[in-house]
Formats: sequence, structure tokens, C-alpha cells
Amino acid sequence: MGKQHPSGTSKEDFSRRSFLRSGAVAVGGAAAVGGAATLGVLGTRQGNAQDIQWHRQADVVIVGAGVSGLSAAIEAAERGVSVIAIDMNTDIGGHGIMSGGQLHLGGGNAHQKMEGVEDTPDMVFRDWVRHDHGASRYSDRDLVRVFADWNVDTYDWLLKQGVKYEPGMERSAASTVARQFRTVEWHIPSEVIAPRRNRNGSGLVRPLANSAREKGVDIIISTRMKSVIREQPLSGRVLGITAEGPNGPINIQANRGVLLCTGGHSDNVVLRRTFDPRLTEEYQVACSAYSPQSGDGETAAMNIGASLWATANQTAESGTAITKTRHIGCQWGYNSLVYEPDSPLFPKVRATGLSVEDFGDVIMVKENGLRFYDETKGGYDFFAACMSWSGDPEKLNGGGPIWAIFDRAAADRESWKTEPPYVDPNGWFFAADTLKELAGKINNPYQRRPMEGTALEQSVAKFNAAVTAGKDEEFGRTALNFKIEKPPFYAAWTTPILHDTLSGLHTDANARVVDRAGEVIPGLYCAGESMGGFAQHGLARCVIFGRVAARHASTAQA
Amino acid sequence: MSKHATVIALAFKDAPPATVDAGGAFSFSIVPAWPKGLGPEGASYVLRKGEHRLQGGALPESDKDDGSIALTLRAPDETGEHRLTFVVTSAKQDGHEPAEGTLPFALTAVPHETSLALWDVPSPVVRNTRFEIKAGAKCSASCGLAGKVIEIRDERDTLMGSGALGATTAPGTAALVFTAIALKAPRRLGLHHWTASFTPSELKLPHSGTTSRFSFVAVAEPAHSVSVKVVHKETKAPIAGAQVRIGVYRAQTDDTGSARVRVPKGAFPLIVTRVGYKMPERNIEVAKDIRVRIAAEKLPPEDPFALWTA
Repeated sequence: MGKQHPSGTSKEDFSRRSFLRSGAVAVGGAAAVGGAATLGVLGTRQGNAQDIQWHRQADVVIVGAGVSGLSAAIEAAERGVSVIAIDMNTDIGGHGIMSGGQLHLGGGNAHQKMEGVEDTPDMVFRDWVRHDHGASRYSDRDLVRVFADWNVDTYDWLLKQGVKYEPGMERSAASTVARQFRTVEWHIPSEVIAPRRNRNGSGLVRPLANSAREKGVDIIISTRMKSVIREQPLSGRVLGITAEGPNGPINIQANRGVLLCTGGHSDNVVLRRTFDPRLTEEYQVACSAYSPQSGDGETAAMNIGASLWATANQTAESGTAITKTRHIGCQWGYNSLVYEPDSPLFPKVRATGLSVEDFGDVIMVKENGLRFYDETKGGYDFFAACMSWSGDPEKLNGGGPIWAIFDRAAADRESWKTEPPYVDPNGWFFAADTLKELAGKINNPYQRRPMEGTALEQSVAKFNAAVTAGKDEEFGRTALNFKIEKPPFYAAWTTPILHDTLSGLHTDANARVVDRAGEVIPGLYCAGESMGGFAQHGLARCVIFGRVAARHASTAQA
Repeated sequence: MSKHATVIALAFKDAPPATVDAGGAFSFSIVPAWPKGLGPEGASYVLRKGEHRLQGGALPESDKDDGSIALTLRAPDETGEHRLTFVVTSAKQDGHEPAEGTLPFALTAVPHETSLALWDVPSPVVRNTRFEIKAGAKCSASCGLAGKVIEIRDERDTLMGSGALGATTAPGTAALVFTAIALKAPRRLGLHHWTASFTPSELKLPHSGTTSRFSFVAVAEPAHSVSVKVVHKETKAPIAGAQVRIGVYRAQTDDTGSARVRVPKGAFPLIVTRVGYKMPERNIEVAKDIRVRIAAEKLPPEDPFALWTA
């Protein structure tokens, strides 16, 4: 097998096409450039003075200071080039900081040796191109080959950046041997964002950010990219980015490359519906409260000609692109993510949610008050039922919102406290003395029409009859142990929640973005969840392809 | 002809609702444009129907930048459409006659909705035996319903029992008054769907009636006991909190992993469930007291990738 070593140069390295023709600069984003910049102007690139004023410049400009962006920043800085990384958020970390810290690295690294796991880069490659697994079937094997070859080196490289690992290792997803382990949660709770809830990803991004700063990387927060600047609308070299910061527009020139590490598109309703038209606005996204997956990188790149890649991954019905809510009665109830009241984000998220032990304690109804599936089930058939048409003549796609309906007895069985800060009564949780009254109280931005009280009453009466008879004729649910009858009654938001972006921009094996004609866009790179072709869940692919992109950009001709 | 020299121009910022409970509160907000030299100080309002004054008082102060004023008034007690006029009159000030502004609008007063909750409904119930359910009622405007009667009827609309609502609210509820209703299970075995109906009358304000349905299974007299023991398949440790279903009979295992149910003679499906465990389903034949042991297999944590079935 052809290999590409981290310290070497790929034999498939594309020769950079000469696009440095003079001409008008193309602005490939939605936002206009200009305005009253408060920053000084450094100068303009040859021939483009009339259109763009550069306020800052660096060899490598990175958009997004999450796992892939920080990894890229360090890799570039270690190679002696200047780096500016921007992030739209008020802090670094992206949704990596909200992560459980799962790293999927094998290849025979030291951790595996300690755990007695035999592995090789070739085994990593073979696993992640498996045809018989949903997470690997649609992989771009050129990308997987690079990933496999960088596993061992990246394990050691992260240790050098100060990242610590928890003992233990498990097998998951397409891997046939144990490769998944966790970073140690960052030791300063106020910097964990969701402390005391195993947000071990903080133990990855905080050391990476510190390492990057120590190496001279300039990280600019609260600054959002608006566009990528290319010499011509659909041709030529990428010259830099326009962005909007606290002091107004800031245009940053990139001498060697722009790296898009923007974290995927799951929050971008228009873009995500490109892949799946059912995913309308009611579907919330796991980490939105901290770091929206805005699709900024994909959008800006497509505006200058970039193409998407391996889009089948997004809808392969495998993994955690869509998940069942585990914590109900709050806006964001992702499986492993709970915000305690001492989280700095709590004023925004407003509730911890009620953690469900047994979905047999609730029924679920759509916005129309009707049941639609066996509530104790999960998986993509369940999600498809959630997203089925609810009968709203004005909204044919979507299918939500979905509400969990339960009674006082269920709340007691689950030890739920049906009050703030556990629930959010401002649109995401409702209580009433009767079911008819409960339906009338449901008022949420995504509940487009009132829920009919009689419909909800009848749904519960039918379910109670199924419990009584021991048979659910409608949906075949076998967990029929408790009726919903004891007042008060509750409705808790339980619409499935989105998470992973599993498809994105087309890149080559050096993480260079490829256009619609299959040609590399000179000076433009992508890594992490905005990159298409490799749909592995977790942080490892973000670290590795951030490094891959930075290595190439750092060594590219300026 | 108006006796007032000047006019206050009134407009709704938030219009009143089209329908509201008869006699119930409704809210809206107005934006007054005060004539030169006049202002909200000392102004008053009146809600009129024709020339009849329904209510009035001092105009509340605005706490909004746009000078809008929020009001909550009481709808007429009679149901139907009402054509009303909201009138604002300024205070009499030196050198000025009081100014007046009028704002007509329509409001439909509807009967108060009522709704029911029925709970503690036992099932199964041995045929011909007495049982009791709890029934509560609620008015959409939280009117007192004590003394009003809930009736229970069977599938043939035969009155099976009734109860007058008490004065206390059900635990945990805001305003659900309730009663216990004694009933008798029918002779016919099987699933029964009965209906509770509530038609409140002689209340000060009009109320609409409502119905709600509940179900139970009438069974034959039990003859034998079925003892179910649920244990971990590997460790043999008892599993508490497992839900046991033997046909229409339900029970939960205790700390020793045991549940006991008395059933009539016959064949029953036995289904045991507990989150995180896989349990074998089986059919049991009951002709005497029997014991059944269920070995529960602990399931691994859910792997979302494992759900892919291609």
C-alpha cells in the first residue's frame, strides 16, 4: 500500500497550479467587504488594491479554533510559519470542548501496547474502508490511508502538546480492535464549559490552545469569517479571508494558505437540508449553545467553486448524525451533554433537562398530539418516524416537534423534579392539571399550530387501553407497564437532536480543497467536520487532518 | 356631538384576543397620542358596551419607551359577540377641557372549557366486584366546580356511577377538584371502555361540558399464583424493578427479584422488561401454582453504529 508519512511529503502531492494572475479579487462570501475598519491597513496584494484592504496578514490563516484548527495552528507554528487563527466564539475549543474526549487512534501506538492491543496502520486502514460497516462504507480511501499512517505519530504528538490520556481502551464503530480512549478532563472547572459531566474534550483543546499560544499563534476570538478571497470568482489562488470582529470588518491576508476548520454544517438548516430535506428548523444541534456548526467554511468555499464530497456519509443512517434526546424538557438534550447550573453557559441553556432512565415511562407525540412509534426504540427507523409528515398542510417536511407526555407517577418513578432548573418552562416544558389543558399550553417557537386537546386525550386513552390490554395494536410496543393517568400531566421537548456533520468539502489527501472540476483550489484547505470523505465520530480525524493541512500549507510556496 | 374640545388618538399595539372565556380576563395594549398640553397623568379609562359602562378606572402608567399602556380587563359574562368601546379621558387641566379618545373592538365571549382527569383506575378487575376510580375536573378559568357531578357510563350509555366534586384540589395540581367514584365491574369478561361525562350547570358563568374515556379489563376470579424470579443470566444476582406482565396482569420485581401474581387457570404470555436487559419471552400454562425463573441478559451500552443493519 502506498503510504504517506507525517514527516514526509506525499508522493501524490499535487503541483501547485499557477493562478497568481493579476486581476480583480473575488469575494466569495455572503457578506460585503468594507466599511469603517478600525484596524490599520497593511497593504494590498498586487493588482487588487481597488477591492480589498488587508488589515492583518500571516503565512497560514486558520478559520475555527476547535480541535482541527488548534492542531493545525500548532503544526504550522512548529514548522516556523506565522499563524493567525480566528474563531466566531468568545472562547476557543469549538464543539471539541463539549466533547466526551474520545480519541480514536490506533496503529500500534503506546497506549495500545500498554493495553495489550496489537495493531498496525494497515489494520486501521482496512477497518476504516470496510464495506460492511456504515461508518466506513463510503470512506474516501485516499483520506483513510493518510489517517491510518498518522495515527501513531499523532498519539505521541498530542502528548507533547500536554494532552493527557485516561487509562483503558475500547473497540468501537468500524474498528476491529480497541482504539478508542479518552483525554483527561481539563483541571479548571470554569474552563470546561459543562463541568462535572465528563466533558473530557476540554482536556484536549485547552492544552492545544496553550501550546499554540506558546508557539506564537495569534488566536483572535469573537471574529467570524464572512468570505474567502480568491483572485477570480472561480479561479486563481486563495489570498485570504474577510471577517467581522468586535471592532468591525477585519480582512486577513494568507501568504501560504487558508485552512477552513469551521466544524461542520449541522446548525445550518439550508445546508443540512441539502443532504436531508427532512431536517427542518425544529431539530436542535448538540453543541449549538456553545459553538454552532454554522457551515461557514463550506458556504464560503462553495462560493468560490469548491465541491462537496462523499455526501452519502451524511445520510448513511449510521452513527450520531441524529440522536434520541436523553435529557428532556430542555432545548438541548444531547445524550452525554448536561449543563449544570454552575456552567458559564447555563443562562443560555436554562435547564439541565430530565434524564430519562426508561422511555417506557413516557409516550411521544408529534405537534399534532398523535403517537407515531414505539417510544422505547431508537435508531434510524425511529428517527424516520419522527420526521414523517405530521399532517400539517403548511409544513410538509420536518415532522416535529416531538413531545414526551407523562404523568406525575412517571415523574416519581424517574425521580424527576419538574421545575427549574431541571426543566425550561419557557417553551420546552409544560405542566397542566388535565391532558386537554396541557395540549393548550404547549407554546414553542417550532410548534406552528396549537395541539388539539382532544387529540392528545385520545392518544393517551388509546395508549392506556393498550397498557390495560397488554397489546399496543398501533405501534407494537411491548413495554406496556404504566398508564398515563395521574395528574398533573407534563409535556417535555424530546425532538431528536443533531450532532455529527459527516460530510463536507472535497479535499485531496493533503487536505487541499478541490473544486467542481476536480482541481485543487490553490491555497485553500479544510479539516475536521467540514471536510468530506471520512465520517469517523470523534476527535482523531480532526486532529490528524488539521495537522495534514497545516503541514502542506506550511511547506507550500508562498 | 362630543363635549370635549380635543381628541386623543388611540391605536392598539397588541390587539385583544378574538375570543375569551366569558367573564374571564383578557389583555391588550394601546398607544395613545396625546394632544398638545395633555398627557397620561390623571387620565382614566372606561370599557363600554353601547352606552353601558362595563368597567373603568385610572389609566395605568406606561413603562414602555413607546408610551404604550398594557391593560387586563374582564370580558362580559354573557356568551356571544360583544361590540365594545375602550374610552380614554384625560384629566381636566387648567386651561384645557378634558380630551377623549375611543377605540372600538369586537370580542367573542365563549363558555369556559372544562376538562377531566381520571386516575387510579385499577385493571384488571375481577368481574362483579366493586372498584373505585378518582375523577377530577378543571375549568379553563379555574372557576370553582365543587359539588358538580361527574357521571360514569358504560359502552351502552348506562349510568354506572357518579360522584360530586369535592372542594380540595388534587395533590400537585393547580385547580383540579376531584372525587372518588365507586363502580362495579361487569360480568362480561374482557376489555371495557367506559366514559366519564361532566356537564356543569347552575354556575354563575357558562361552562361547556366534556367527556373522557378510560378502560379496564374484567377478569375471572384468580385460582393460582405465578411466582416469577428474575436473575442476571451470568451472575445469578436478583434483578429488582423488572416489569412483569402475565397477560393483562402486571407486577414489579422486589429486591429479591421476585414478583407474584394471582391469575385464573389458563394460558398467558409472560413478558418481563427492564432497561438494559434482554429477557426471553415465553408462554406459560397455569393449571396450578407455578414458579418461573427468567434469566436476564445484560445488554452492552448502545452503540449507535451498531444500529446500521446493512
